[in-house]
Amino acid sequence: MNDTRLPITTVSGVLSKQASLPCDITPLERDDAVYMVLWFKEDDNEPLYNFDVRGRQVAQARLSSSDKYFGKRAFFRATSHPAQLLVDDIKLSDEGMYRCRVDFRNSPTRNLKINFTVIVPPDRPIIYDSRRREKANTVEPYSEGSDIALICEVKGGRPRPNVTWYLDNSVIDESFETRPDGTTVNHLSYPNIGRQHLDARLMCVASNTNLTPPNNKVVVLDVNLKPVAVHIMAKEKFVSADKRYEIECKSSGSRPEAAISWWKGTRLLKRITKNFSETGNQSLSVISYTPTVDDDGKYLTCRAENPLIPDSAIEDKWRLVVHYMPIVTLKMGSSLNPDDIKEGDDIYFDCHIQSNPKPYKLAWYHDGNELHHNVTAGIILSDHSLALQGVSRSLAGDYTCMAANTEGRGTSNHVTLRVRYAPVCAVDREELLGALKHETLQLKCEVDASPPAESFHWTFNSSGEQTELPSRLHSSETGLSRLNYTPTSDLDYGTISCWGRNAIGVQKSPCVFQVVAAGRPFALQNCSVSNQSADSLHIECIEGFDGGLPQMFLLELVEVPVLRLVRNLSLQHPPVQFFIDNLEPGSSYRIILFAANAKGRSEPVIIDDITFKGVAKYTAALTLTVALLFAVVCIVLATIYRRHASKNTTKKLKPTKTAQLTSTPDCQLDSSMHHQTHDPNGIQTPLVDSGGGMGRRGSPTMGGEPPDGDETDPDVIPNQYERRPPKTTLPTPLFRSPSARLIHRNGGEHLLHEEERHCDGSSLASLTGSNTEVHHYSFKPSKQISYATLGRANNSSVTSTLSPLSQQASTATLPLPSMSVTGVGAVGSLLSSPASQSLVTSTLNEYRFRPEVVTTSNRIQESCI
Amino acid sequence: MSGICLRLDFVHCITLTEVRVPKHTIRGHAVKLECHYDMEGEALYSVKWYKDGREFYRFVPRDDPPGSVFPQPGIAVDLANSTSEQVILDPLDLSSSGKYRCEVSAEAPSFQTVSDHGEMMVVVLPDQDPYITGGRPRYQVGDSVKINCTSGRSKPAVQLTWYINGDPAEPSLVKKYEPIITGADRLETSVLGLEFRVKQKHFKHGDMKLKCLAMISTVYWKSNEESVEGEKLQKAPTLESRRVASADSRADRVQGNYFHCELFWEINFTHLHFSLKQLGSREL
Repeated sequence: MNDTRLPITTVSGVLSKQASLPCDITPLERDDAVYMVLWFKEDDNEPLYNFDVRGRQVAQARLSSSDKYFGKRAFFRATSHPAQLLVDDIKLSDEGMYRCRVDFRNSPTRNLKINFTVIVPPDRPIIYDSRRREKANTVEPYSEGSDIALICEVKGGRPRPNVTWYLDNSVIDESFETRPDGTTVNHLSYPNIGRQHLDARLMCVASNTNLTPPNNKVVVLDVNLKPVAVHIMAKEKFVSADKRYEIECKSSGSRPEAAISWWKGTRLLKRITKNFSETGNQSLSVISYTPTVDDDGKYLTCRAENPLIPDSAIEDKWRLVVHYMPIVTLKMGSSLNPDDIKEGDDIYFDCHIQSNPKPYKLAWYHDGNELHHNVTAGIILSDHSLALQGVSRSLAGDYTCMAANTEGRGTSNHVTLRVRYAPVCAVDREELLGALKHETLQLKCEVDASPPAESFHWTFNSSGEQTELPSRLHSSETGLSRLNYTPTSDLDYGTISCWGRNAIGVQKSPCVFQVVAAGRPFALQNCSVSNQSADSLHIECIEGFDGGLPQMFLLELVEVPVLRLVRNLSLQHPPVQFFIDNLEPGSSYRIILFAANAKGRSEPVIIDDITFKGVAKYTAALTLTVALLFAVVCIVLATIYRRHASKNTTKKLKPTKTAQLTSTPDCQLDSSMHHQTHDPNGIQTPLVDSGGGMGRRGSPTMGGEPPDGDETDPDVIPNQYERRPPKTTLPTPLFRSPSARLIHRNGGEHLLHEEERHCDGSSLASLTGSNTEVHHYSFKPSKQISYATLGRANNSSVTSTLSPLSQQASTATLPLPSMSVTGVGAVGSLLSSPASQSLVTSTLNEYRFRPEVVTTSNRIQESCI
Repeated sequence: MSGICLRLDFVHCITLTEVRVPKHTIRGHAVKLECHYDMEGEALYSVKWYKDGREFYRFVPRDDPPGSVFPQPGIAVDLANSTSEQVILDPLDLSSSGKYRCEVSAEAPSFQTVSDHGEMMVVVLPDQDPYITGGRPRYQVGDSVKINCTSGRSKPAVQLTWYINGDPAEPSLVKKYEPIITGADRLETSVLGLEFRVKQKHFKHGDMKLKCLAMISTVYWKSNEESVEGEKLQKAPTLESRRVASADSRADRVQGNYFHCELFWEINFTHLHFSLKQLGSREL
């Protein structure tokens, strides 16, 4: 059928796929029906397919497909609209003009032409880069900002395919060309890849039909992105030096993850950093950073970079403000030679402070003690300097300065100030040494000096004459000289002085040794009762000067009031400690303590009123007596003083030695008068006699008992000065007995010296005469209850006491008249008022309970001045 | 024409031996279309006749009656006289012109199908002979000749040709006009002009013969001739008398021509031109 008027339908099929050749078999009229369908190709007489419905239902139509053409590949589907011949597995040879003849029962035959084209899909596109390297991977990396130049080549295809580039779903390049070798090519040039192209699909599509999905090749853009932001988190206003900080830096936008580095100034910090990946192109770096003082003002930089993209680095900087403890350096003034500072020089120190924030305090220390501004003492603190005017050797030592700010305190190095000075005696008091004739004493003269003393000389002073001791008698070493001294006659007793010398000069005040003839030991001191129980007690004393000979210690326990000797104890060596037990409850005792050497006994120490569950009445009576006695004594003293005031003024002008001699009897005189006049019990006061010892030597007012006959009589208590060499300038002689030396080491000497001084303070004043009269009327600041006794068992005890009022006494600077009045008035009122009696008693009771009951006759005398 | 049959199995190829369709037919006449085939032992399924691709007659043996007609313009089937091998159209109309195809199909299972076709044109002959207008009785050398030849109304249009002294006029002397269509049946009238200046050579033996030939394909053939005397000649022939005489004879011949053609068709419908040649030789 070559009739050109037949309708022609153009149909395509894809190679190897199924194709459908349409043929409308619907009759034009309702009552009509299909009869037969015949399919022809080209001019072939034989139908390639027939569909025979004659005498059948459509569904049961007889089908036949020619093996010459489609064979089993074809099936006529009459039920679809239009009906169609489905052909599987299309081959190239299937292409051509087909005719479908539809015979109807009543209507004219319908002939339809179908021009069937076979489409051969193209090969899969291949993508090359500009250097013709195949981009086989699905994901291709590009750096942000770069350009894309790709070539898509497609081989084959019938008809030739359209080769198109898509970015995601948009066409970006449709310009392709077909080459004579049968390939179709599309060159893509796409500039400036950006962040928005990440994961974009770049696709080359080769298409020559709509019947099948086109062949394509996809390249997913893996865009390397520059970091967009970098931030150091939590930039603190300041950081503290040497404190560890974990500093975080976050960067975002980079892909792959940014490489974060830390820089201090221009230096890369390779220290402990930890890097973390976070979602969304974020990365975090934590540096464990300990700022140092030097970092103050420097910049800490966090740098984020995409290593794949050159010049992609961005930075965040943090100017570090580092706070730190002051760094303090101390130097002695630069103009000073630290090795040549003598007493009296002016010196200064400079304290250099490096600090952030500024210090709020600067302090100076000398051997750990803070110094304060004191112009009078020559200590001047200025900005960063310490000036010391006229340094004394006491200012030698280690100096430091300290500055404090909110970060803490910084203490400087210490600078040692060495003050050079002439030798001074290491012991600032006289030593008292007793010696028998021909007994050799070893005197040790120790001096402090800077530099140490190089040489020594010794002098002997007696009766105002000073003679140089030959150098053969002494040996010297650094800072120390020893002298072996053997008195052979009475003239050899006196004062020995030792003088050291160094580069600075000769010692100003010598070390003084009083060498006295050996005599009776001094009384025990500071005796105290302790651990008293129902029938026992413990007594402890400190031994006194041994008189220059070995001493022993005796204790006598006497029951009162019967005065019966109950115990007699002795000790050959210190410490002086006695224990007494098996005493009778309900009894009262008196304890008498002595020291003794070959020259005799010391003055006794009497401790009265030791009662074991006894009655206290006696004690009360006794104490009342004592109080009244004291008051009377003081009144008398005041009266006497007035009489003697004019006398003292003249005596003051006398040389020291003379003053000493005259003043001592004053004390004795006062004491004796007091005892004689006012003892309410009518007991004779032996103290009058004791004072006589002194008076014998030089007191014009005091006549006394014969002086020397009492050496072996323990009942006679001679004045202590009897055996002492006359004083020169030192106020108190330092005596040493073996046990005292021991005590010295144990620290007991301190107590001993304290007691001595208490007495000396007043006696010195009176002796030297260089002080005002006020000293004569000062009460001793002592709470002791003192006793003195003349005799042994037979004598009733005679006591003198110091009123507690002495505590209230003003110091030496108080004017005499007012003090006198006050003292007298107070005592007077006590005497006249019964009410006040109990007050006194109770006051005394307070003292009685105290275990310290110590006295010496010497002390009593002085206290009563 | 028909497809090549390459079947090699036991079933033979059916062949279409002849499809006879007259090339020209006269309006109002009948025509017989013939289709001859050799089934080679196969059963006949159908014979279908198409005009311009549209089926108008079918002969299916299994149908009762086996012949059926599908009307369409220009087709009037004489069903009673139509069979499996012929179909009669009567009468013919101008719209009966077209391509006629006969398609023969064998029964199952092969359903081999062969077809062939022929073109048929329906003709309306001119209602009058061609005539010449504008001529003068005498021409002298140097005179200008300007004449027209006009045909009678026909379908398709008549083809006119000028001859001078028996030779076809040079194309430069001929002036062509579009056919004139007139009437409800839209028949066409052809006009052809001839213009030239008279020269000595146009006279042969003192005469100049001008002839107009009208023809429609091979079915119509008529001419008209004028003879003109030169100036030297005393007697002047009249064109009218001669024209009429020749016109009659020509008309007869044309009629006879048609008859001859019909005969030729019966012998060999493909060699129609042969008889036309014979006619031409007779005319001159």
